[in-house]
Amino acid sequence: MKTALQSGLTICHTCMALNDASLKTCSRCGSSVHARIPGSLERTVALLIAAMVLYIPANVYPIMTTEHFGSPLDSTILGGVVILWKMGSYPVALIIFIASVLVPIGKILSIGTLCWTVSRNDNRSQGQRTSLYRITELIGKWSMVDVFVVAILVALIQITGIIVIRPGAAALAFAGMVILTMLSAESFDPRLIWDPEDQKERPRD
Amino acid sequence: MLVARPTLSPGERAECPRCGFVLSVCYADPDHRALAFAISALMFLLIAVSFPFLSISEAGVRVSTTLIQTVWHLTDYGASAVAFLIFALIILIPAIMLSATVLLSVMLLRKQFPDWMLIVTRWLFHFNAWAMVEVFCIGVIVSLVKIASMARVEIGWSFWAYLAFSGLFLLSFSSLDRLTTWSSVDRLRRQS
Repeated sequence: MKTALQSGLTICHTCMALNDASLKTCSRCGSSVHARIPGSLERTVALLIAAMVLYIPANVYPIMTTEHFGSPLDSTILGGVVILWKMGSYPVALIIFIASVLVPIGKILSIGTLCWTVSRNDNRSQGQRTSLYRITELIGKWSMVDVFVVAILVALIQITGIIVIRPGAAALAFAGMVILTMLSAESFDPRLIWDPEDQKERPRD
Repeated sequence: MLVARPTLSPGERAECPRCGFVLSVCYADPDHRALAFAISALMFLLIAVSFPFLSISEAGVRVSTTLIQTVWHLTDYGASAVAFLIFALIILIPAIMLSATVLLSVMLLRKQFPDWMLIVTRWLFHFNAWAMVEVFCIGVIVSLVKIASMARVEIGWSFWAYLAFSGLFLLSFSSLDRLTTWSSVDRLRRQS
């Protein structure tokens, strides 16, 4: 198996055209081309750390405040899940728990693992790691569910004097964290996972 | 890894033999398909933003909200950044993508190659990761369950229109295979 890099070619990320490795911009669509995303690992790790930092206020601050007859009640992301669970709305509690707790933590862990194994030139279970990357990319946007829920509740629950819902500081922190993990996953170059394989094969071809 | 691109017939797809990534999917007449879905999705989006989305009634008071108000209300509490982000993810980016799809498929069908064609095609595929229409639909359903415990909820016209819009939006974009679309664009570029 020969790779594009070994044949002196680079693929364009935008239009998937093969270009001569000496070209800086794609001959078909004009995007910038490179054999591997420049500084992929550094950028991915930097964005990942930023996302981890934002994850703290996202969980500590209230995501929304419910004012019932004038008395405010703050609820955090986890608090909201607990309330829903106690109310007996198990499916909804589960959706929010998966989307706002499991998915973000899972994403941070999996991008972290991918960066760590790539930096060590690990050449084991490339197939699984590639799947892990694809899954991380795919589930990324689903964490936004909670932010959308807050927006709808804030707009709708506006009966002055009886019940009012206000957005909390965690909403922005959480939305920012989701965006940062998505950018982080996007800047990771999955071909780095396969590079040790090709270095191993190179003497033979 | 280099692989030769196979010629696909409608319904077939090509995967990378090493990592299993779907490289290309072939549909019968993809340009007409994408155009038809994109135009109908845009029409449903127009309906979705012009009528009441959801309304609640509690203690004789009725509150009704449109899709735009849903986003706008956040700015009243100083959460303008979140408001703009949500607006972009559920309305603006999908609308830009659909308009780009219409422009692109019309040009492909009329076999014309205007100067902006490369830019439009490039942005169309870049924006894909940032449209969250299906995530918003789940968000709405979760909200409905949450509100149902506090007040009586009524579902407005826009709710159904938005659901139809998201389905059509996904169908429209999935009709445009990246490899096939770029090959067609490139063919037009060479001819012009």
